[in-house]
Amino acid sequence: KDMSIKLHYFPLRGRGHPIRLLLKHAKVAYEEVIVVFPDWFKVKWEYEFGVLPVLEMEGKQFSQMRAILRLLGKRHGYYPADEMEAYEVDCLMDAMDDWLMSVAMKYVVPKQFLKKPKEEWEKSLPAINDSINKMLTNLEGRMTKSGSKYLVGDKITIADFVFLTYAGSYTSLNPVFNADWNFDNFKDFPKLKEFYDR
Amino acid sequence: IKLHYFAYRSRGHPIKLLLKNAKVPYEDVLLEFPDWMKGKKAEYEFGVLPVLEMEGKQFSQTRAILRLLGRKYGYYPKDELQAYEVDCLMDAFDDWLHTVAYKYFIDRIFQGKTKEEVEPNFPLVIDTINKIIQNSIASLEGRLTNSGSKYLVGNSLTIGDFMFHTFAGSFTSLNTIFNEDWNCDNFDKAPKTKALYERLTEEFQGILEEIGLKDAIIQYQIKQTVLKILMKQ
Repeated sequence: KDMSIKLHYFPLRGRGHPIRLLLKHAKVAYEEVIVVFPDWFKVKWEYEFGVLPVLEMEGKQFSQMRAILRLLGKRHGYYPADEMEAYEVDCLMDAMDDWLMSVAMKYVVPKQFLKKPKEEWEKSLPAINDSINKMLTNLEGRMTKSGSKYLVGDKITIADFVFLTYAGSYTSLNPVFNADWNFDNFKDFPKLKEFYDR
Repeated sequence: IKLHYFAYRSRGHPIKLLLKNAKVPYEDVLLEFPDWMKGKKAEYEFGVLPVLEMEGKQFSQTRAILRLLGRKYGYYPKDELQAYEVDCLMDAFDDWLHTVAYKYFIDRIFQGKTKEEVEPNFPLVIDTINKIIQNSIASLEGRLTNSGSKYLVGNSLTIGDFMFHTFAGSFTSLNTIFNEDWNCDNFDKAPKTKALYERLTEEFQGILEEIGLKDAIIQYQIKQTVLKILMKQ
């Protein structure tokens, strides 16, 4: 039986990228299985819950990004042993996923997948920007208060991998978005920007 | 301990099931939707409910809260692979809520639209919802058959069971309100899953009565109808 590790995902960052970051950081060898969009609806229900990413590992299929990150995190030292810190990581990952969902549903899907004209998704931008700001304000506040170098505790956790992915894709740090938005999400958040750059 | 949520099951309910099972006293802080939209939302850390007030702090995000309480009261597996199973299934159940809620629930229950009003969109909506639910239930049935476990994962109650019972009861054909529109049996090919639901219902019987929200959805609908009538007057 094939025991190698394979990550099944689309050719983009999204929910696959945090897993890639973890595996690379932990120096764990893996293969990418890229699913292109024209094929997706043909193969969707071959995957356990009809969603990606899926990690093939030890001859089994593992689904759901956060569940996978938690398992790998426990095995490779990226998930806190302390239950309060673990709660913080869980809570931030869920909150960041809400952020992704709102940007994806109101902007990425209409613009890039459904190719709708600018007038249709343009009006969502203020609301999206508002929710990004709220998220970043919260994260900046936490880092200021804790004085920590990372989002939770004092070493890298799966929350950091998720933040790095989402900040790079779903804020003004993404040059594609910035062409439409033309503003800086991070102008009030020096700590977060410094953290991201690092 | 205070649990802030709206007056229906959904994401607050699994936490109530846990606290009641663990015999931990708590208070319900019930929020009304109009107040929520008018500004209460901003008082909560991430602008979402449920929020648990505990030890003088606010805790957000249903599954993060369930995991924290689960570790504390013995409802979260120590084994990392079993923990993964619980995590994965909880995320899949939450997808039900997203799909059913955003494609159907909001129109039909929140906005009180009649079946006739939403019916034009129905075939596509029901098809999409059913595929997702059927697929998850089929996966679940496969797991339960392979593991032969008494509960969702393993042989003792976990947070996965609390979430499963809540969501299966609300967002599948087991919900009699939905079944009026859907007229299908999501569990016709999933006897073990159905049996788990029934076993949990029996085990939670006293607790469900204490929580007393059996008819919350109906109460809410009645309230909305009354509101509509009052607003017209």
